[in-house]
Amino acid sequence: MRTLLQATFLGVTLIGVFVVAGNAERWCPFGGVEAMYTYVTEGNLTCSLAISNFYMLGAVVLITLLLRRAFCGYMCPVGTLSDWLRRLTGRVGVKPIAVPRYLDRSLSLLKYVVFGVVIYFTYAAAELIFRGFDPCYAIISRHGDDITVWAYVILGGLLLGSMLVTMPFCRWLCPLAAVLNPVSRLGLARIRRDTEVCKPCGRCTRACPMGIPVAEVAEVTHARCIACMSCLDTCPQHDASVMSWGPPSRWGGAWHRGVIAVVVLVVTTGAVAMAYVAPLPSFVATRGELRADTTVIDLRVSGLTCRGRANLLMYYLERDDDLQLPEYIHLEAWPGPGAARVRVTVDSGTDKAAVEEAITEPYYDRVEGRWRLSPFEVEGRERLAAP
Amino acid sequence: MNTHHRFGRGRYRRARTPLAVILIAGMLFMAVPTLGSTRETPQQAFERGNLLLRQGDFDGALGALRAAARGAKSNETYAQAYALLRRIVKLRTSLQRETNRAKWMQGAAALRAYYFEHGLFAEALAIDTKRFQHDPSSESATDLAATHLALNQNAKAESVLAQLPGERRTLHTSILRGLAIARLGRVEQARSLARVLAEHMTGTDPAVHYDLARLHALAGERETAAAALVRTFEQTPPSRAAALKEHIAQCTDFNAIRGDAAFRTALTTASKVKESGCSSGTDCGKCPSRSKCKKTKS
Repeated sequence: MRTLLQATFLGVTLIGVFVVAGNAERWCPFGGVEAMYTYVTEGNLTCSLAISNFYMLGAVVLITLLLRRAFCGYMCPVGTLSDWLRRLTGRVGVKPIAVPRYLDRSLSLLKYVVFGVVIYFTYAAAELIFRGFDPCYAIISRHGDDITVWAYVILGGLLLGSMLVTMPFCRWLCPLAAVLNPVSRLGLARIRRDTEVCKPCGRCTRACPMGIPVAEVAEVTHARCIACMSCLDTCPQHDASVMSWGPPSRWGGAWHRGVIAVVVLVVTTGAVAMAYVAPLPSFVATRGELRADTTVIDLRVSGLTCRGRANLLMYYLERDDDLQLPEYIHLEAWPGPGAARVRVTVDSGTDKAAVEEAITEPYYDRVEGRWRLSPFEVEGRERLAAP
Repeated sequence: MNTHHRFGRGRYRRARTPLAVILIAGMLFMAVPTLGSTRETPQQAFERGNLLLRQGDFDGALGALRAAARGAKSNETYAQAYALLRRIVKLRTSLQRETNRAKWMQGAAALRAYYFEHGLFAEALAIDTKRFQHDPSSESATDLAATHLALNQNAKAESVLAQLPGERRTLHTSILRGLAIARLGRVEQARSLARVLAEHMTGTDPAVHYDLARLHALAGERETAAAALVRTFEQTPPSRAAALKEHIAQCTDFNAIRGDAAFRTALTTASKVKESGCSSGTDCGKCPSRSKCKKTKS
């Protein structure tokens, strides 16, 4: 079941990236963490992120609260590739390197350092400045404009490392893990070991890809547990149900593993649905005081691909020449490829044609002393209309 | 009775008219593609539009550019040239009705920038003269003088700038006055002025550096002219470097130093201006403005 779920999420990601050629970045839960600061302080999202990043972050946090870091074990493409490579090399007889516990603990602190550095500089620059080095971005970006060779080097290093050590990125370096670990500590589901029946052979500890000493605890409440069930599967006392998975023992019996599939699929589907049902704007800007009487104008605008372009759109709406719009302007935008959705709320009496003209007509920049040509086109407006 | 003869002639007569029709239709059919091949291409329409614009025929230029843009819908250059000219035509009309002086001045400055950039110096002169009459500021004086100089009306340029009260004189107005003086043959006076101005040269406006380079060139200060050109290119955004080179190629003020090695080297100077590199993609790429992408207006 785990392999099937991993394949499903990896397949959906790859199809979305390479076949549909969509913007997979909008679904990255860590993107929600990175966009949090600018969204709270400015009401806008960094770069080309969208509200779907927040919904996905919420879904992953909820999954983590229920199932601990099952996101890493079942959904994350880097985690999946890492796991599959290790299994593949295991099949050809390459044993994983056993990392001493003290070293494992020390290395696992690195992810907090990575998280701190990434978040600090991202918030300071209000931009995804480390994206060019992100190994996940190397997979989903289709060689994006700002990808650097280091992203591929880091990805290659992680994949190579995954052949020798189990889940090195997930254990030691992933900044999202730094966010999920405190949540995972509160996770509901856990691996349970009947200590009275168990003959501590240690196989469960050796089988754990995350280096958790399963044989030393009655319940695995470690934050890094990815619910992979490797410990259960490897237990020689399987028939005696020494190992089980479910809520705290005092609550009751074990859960079927299918619960993981249900929770993961339902919560993820819910997040995706929310992104379409309640698509909050990624960019919001306002000029002037809200009036009692306003008109709402919905448009589809091409060329509105990112936050930078959304800023430019507001610049055109705020123009002060003969195409000037009345004082109050409230812009909500959903930047993206193709014809992006835009909602402009203006003073009552402003007609749609005036807003379209303000967006598309050239504007004389008095600061630079030159004419600026608008990169935007409004759907339904004839670009080459006669004067 | 010659039945064969009468039979053949009769059939010929009956067939003659339809045969003629078929022959003429065939000729027309072959002629139509030939006629079509003389239809104007988008490129030709674009060139015609630019020619009409230089002749001051705005409406004609508008029609030609529109034809070019419609004939080559994927050509952004044609579409943008048409959009800009359409805007200019609208602005010209709205400015005739504008009664608010501040708004008129703003629109006039915008029109003037277009006229000057496209070599429509007569149009620029008309509007610059009105602007100066409404508000004889250093900005309007600078533009009016620059237009006079573009039209080789050097004495008029000097006159405009000489009449400026002291508090309205700027470095740029002084440089343009020096240019006018140099062109009027008073080279020594121009040279002295150029040396004084070079000592006080500050700021990053490439237009000021450029005009200073012209003044030095006319004053015979070859090395200083080349150095000023270097600063001009350094302060010019990368996207406008090509237009600057074209302008320099046509500017006669540089004729005396065009053969100099320093001059040729100056033309290859790279810009030091970080220009927005909007990738129009899903990210801000390597755009140097990406963390502060918000245009502020003074």
